[in-house]
Amino acid sequence: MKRANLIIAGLLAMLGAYVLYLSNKLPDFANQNTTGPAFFPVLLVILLFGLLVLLVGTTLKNETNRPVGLLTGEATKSFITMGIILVYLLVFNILGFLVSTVLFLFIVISYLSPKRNYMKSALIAVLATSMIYVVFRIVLLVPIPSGMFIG
Amino acid sequence: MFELLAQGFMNVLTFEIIGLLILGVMIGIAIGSLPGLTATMGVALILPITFKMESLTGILMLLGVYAGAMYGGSISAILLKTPGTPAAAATIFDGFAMSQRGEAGRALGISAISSFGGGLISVIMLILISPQLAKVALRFSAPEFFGLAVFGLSIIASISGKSMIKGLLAGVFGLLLSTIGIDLVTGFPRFTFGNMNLFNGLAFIPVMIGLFAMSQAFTSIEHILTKKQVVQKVGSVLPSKADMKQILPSILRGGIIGTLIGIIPGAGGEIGAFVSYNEAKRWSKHPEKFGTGIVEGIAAPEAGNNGVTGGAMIPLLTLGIPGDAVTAILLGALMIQGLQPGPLLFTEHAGLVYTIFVGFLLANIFMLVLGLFGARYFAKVISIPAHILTPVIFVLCIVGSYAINNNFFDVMVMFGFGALGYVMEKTEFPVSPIVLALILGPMAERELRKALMMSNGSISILFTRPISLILIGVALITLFMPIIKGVKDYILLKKEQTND
Repeated sequence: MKRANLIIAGLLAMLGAYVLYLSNKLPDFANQNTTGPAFFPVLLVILLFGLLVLLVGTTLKNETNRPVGLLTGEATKSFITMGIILVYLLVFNILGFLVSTVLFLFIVISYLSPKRNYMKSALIAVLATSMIYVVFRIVLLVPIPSGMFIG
Repeated sequence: MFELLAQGFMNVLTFEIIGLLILGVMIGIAIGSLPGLTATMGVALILPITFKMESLTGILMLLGVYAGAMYGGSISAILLKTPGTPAAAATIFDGFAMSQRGEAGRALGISAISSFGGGLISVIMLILISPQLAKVALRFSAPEFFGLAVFGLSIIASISGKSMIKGLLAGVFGLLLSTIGIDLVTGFPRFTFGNMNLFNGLAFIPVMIGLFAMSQAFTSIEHILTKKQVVQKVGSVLPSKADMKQILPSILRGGIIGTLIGIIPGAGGEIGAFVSYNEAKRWSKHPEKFGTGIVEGIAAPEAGNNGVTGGAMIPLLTLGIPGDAVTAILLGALMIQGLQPGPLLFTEHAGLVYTIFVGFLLANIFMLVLGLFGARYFAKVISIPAHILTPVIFVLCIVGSYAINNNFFDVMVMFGFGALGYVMEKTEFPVSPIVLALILGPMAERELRKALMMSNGSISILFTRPISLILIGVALITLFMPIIKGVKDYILLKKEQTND
């Protein structure tokens, strides 16, 4: 946790610096009886830096090197799933909802199942996709992105 | 008031509203009973479905989900020793012990009755307290609203995580996100990078779905069970007269405690249930029996967590400050429907407010009926394996966030915050301060700058008006009060004991 805290503190400090840089380019309303658009963000960055000093201080003083759990085997499963979702989102607009969702569900269900059973995964993927489609598109009239082939 | 309530009854009594309310409660119980799916996630997932509905119908359906999920959590706590929602963690002690004795039905019945009792008390308190609070809040001006926003944020930041500094950092990060978009005072676009989608600010519904539903699904991937769990058989659930008499004091106490805790921004069902359980134990003539499967041990936490529901609605409706994560989503739902919660809601839309009260009352009644007569069917829902459920939740998150504006940008925002929420949870940063900050940020900024204009730039205006002084003072005290941390540590300790 010690290293994780320090990395996050570094990232947030960079974010704060970036916000300051962007705020600096915003127009100044100092001559008028009003605060400019940069007023609040700059105030927040000051707060942010104050808290970061506290975080780094307490981390160095109290935090031990207990593992964060982002590099374990279980977490890898989550990250791989994230990757699959990203690919799904990218092909979504090309293949359309029905095709891409069936494929996505089939792949993820097969991947996460303790026992692989491709027939069962495929069946569930088709069933779940049709149910979601019916509920959103037909019952609730929520538009669902259609692909180049079929909606 | 009674006239408005009667009018509310008339408004609710339509086929559509009653039907969707029952459906909402059913979905809520099912979601709540599934371990890994929380009340917050349930409401976030159902929210997009309600966009196309009338504002009232949609809100009531979400309230049904909320009430149902709070009760539903106890089903898996009792049958599986796994809380369906974090709020049901305290129900395990006596609930599971009782079901191991072969009395699962009795435990479920007591849970349903107590959840109803707690919910009922909280709705009554909601009806009694909120119009008065709204009247007070009507006199608020810029400094008070700024104080309110700071107050809400500081409390949620300090109680929602293990570390107060991390909670506050999450809050400040959320506030920074809230500055994206056109500056409301000068009309100048900030941090939009020329992206049209950001001109109105970061849309908070996709952020919520990402932080509350998708990140939760990533976490549950890690806990996908490999072995089949044995679900206890459910017998008769109707509680006996003797049981009813035994649990009544615990229900009353739990309902009131839950409501009061619900009012505190950021303190949700989990804390309500634990405090109520501990109080029941403290007041009991036989505290040593708690944990062995006694009726009060189920009644107290279940009344406590449902008590939170009505309590959390009080600051939401009267001040526009959500009392917990679920009401933060409800706030988003109301705003999407063009309704700004706050004191004006009570004067401009009094009819709507009272209809919500009545609908919430009915939601609790339906929850009782479904809980008593449908418990054994909901017990079957638990056996849906997580490796099927979780991928479906991903799809629902995506479809749901797309449905808001038919905009793919929102989907990417949702996904980004889903991944962020997962990493945050791992690194022990709480996510709810981000959501609350995103909602309260624009209010805090606008009111602070308005206040400074009122005072010609003097910051003293914040400290010379009594209410704003009190609110900011309380916020500061909260930040320096380690007592809350003590309570939190105690709860965590209790939780670790249950996991043993």
